Amino acid sequence: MTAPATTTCHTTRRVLVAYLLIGTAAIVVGWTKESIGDGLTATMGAGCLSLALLLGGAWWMQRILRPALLFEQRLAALAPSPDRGGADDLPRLEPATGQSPAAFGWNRLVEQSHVWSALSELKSTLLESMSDRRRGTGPQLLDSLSEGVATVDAEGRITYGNSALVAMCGHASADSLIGCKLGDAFGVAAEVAEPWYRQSSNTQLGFEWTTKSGSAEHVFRGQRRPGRKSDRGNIAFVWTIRDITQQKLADNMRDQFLATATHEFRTPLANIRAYAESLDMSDDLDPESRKRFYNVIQSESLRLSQLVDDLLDISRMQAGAMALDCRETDLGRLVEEVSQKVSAEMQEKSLDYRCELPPKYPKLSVDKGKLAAAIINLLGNAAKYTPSGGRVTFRVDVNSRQVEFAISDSGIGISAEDLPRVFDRFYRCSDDRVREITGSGLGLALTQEVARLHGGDVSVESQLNQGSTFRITLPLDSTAA
Amino acid sequence: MDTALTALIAEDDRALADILRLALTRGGYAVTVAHDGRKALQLATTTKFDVVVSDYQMPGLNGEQVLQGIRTAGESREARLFLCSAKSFELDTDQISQTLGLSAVFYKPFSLGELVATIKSMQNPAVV
Repeated sequence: MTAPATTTCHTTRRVLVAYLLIGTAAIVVGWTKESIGDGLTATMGAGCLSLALLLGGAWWMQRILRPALLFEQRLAALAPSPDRGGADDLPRLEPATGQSPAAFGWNRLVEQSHVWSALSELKSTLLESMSDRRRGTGPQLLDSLSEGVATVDAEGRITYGNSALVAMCGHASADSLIGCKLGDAFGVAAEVAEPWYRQSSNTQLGFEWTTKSGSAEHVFRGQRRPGRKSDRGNIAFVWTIRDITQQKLADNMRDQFLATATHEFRTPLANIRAYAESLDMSDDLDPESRKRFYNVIQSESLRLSQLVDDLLDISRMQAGAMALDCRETDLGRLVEEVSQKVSAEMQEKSLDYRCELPPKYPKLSVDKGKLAAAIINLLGNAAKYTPSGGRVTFRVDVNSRQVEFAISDSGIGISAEDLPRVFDRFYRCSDDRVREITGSGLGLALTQEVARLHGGDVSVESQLNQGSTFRITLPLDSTAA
Repeated sequence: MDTALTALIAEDDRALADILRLALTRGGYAVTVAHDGRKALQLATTTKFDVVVSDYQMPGLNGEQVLQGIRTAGESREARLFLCSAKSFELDTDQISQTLGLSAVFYKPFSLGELVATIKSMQNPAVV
């Protein structure tokens, strides 16, 4: 920054020296010519030359000094005046003059002043908000948090609470919370909340508690940190409180998932190990028993394999990564294929299996493999949970808006308590008759996901001991997700 | 004259129940099988068994409830009790074992040979 200014000073100095030299030379020339008696003409010529040089020099000088004069004017503008504002009022120099080093420096000074001005304004705002906690940006920030924030005095009485805390406590406003004990605000029993107010520790402490509001139960986790000391030397506390109800539910579901998955894996593994060991240890097994043992090992291996596939699908489903490979599909052929696959099972149980199919099917873009698996799952369930001699009907209805695959049976049905949960992962009905039949509890969850990925859905109607009807509906104009 | 020791198997998985029956029969036991908890408890209450091998997760009553019922009253209250469980981390089997005086707990997938050998090694009636 100092280099251009120095250059300007040097240039100015050089110009002044040049001007003085030329002027002096002109006067000397004029005087010399006059002294040697060249006459009036020579004197006038020299005078004119001097005058021209003087005027030219003055014009040049003014041109050179113009930025410096402007700079001086701007500086003068900085002088205190009641009708002048802050740094924002300082104008930048226009480009023509701004090219000079002085103007360049001035513009940098103006930019710097804008930064100072902004910093000063920020400082004022912060000071203002800190001096009055009920106004300003600080409390606005606290109110925007999803975590509850409270300050309590040494007796545990609330001195400040943000909006989230007010909502957690079910109060109408922060004012009604002020002065309440924190435990009372949450409706927590005094003996439970008693440790919250203890002065024994200065370190950060964590507490967890449960509240009930009607039938809804909420779990909260609070962190207590020491705040300022009161006049009596007691320490007040700052609390941050989070509603962890959903997190707890997710934890429970994960634990249940792990427990069920572990059980589902270990049962076929136990069979495989036991039957393999029996084959190895029993030399006197008759061929029929030997064959039966191999069949058990094979079927249990398939059960394990299917379980792994289902778990992978469930995991993809959870991650939102289950993708469909949709192609234009001949629905008539798909229906025929799934019927063929389940017919053996239907015959084995002497079930009255009927298909009620439309004469004509629309063209539909679906993932044939996944849709077939979903329908087979429903038909397989109907066969499994319908006693021998019962009835299973597979009906397909098509209208202008949708195609519906309905699987009805005269089986054991589902109780009203179990019905809302049948599509939950790993859920198996509490009915003993269901528990007697092998199943992972994943099939209906996967069926529902497949239907939804196709833009449709699956529904169920059932009555205990009367039978069930599961329906997959797919919109005809759907483009799969 | 020695009579065969009697064993009750409570297991809802039919394939596993079948192979357990075979293994214990070959081990010299007269075996009865129940495929759910309630049936098992009912049988053990009315019939004296020397050994009861119960799965944990079953329809009706779970294994802990069945063994507790057996230990509390009925003909088989002095039987040797064994629990088979597929769950090894969720259940506090040590606590169940201590409370009910179980002879052993087997975790699936267990060795059939070891299970039979363990049961046979504890042929004397349990003292609770």
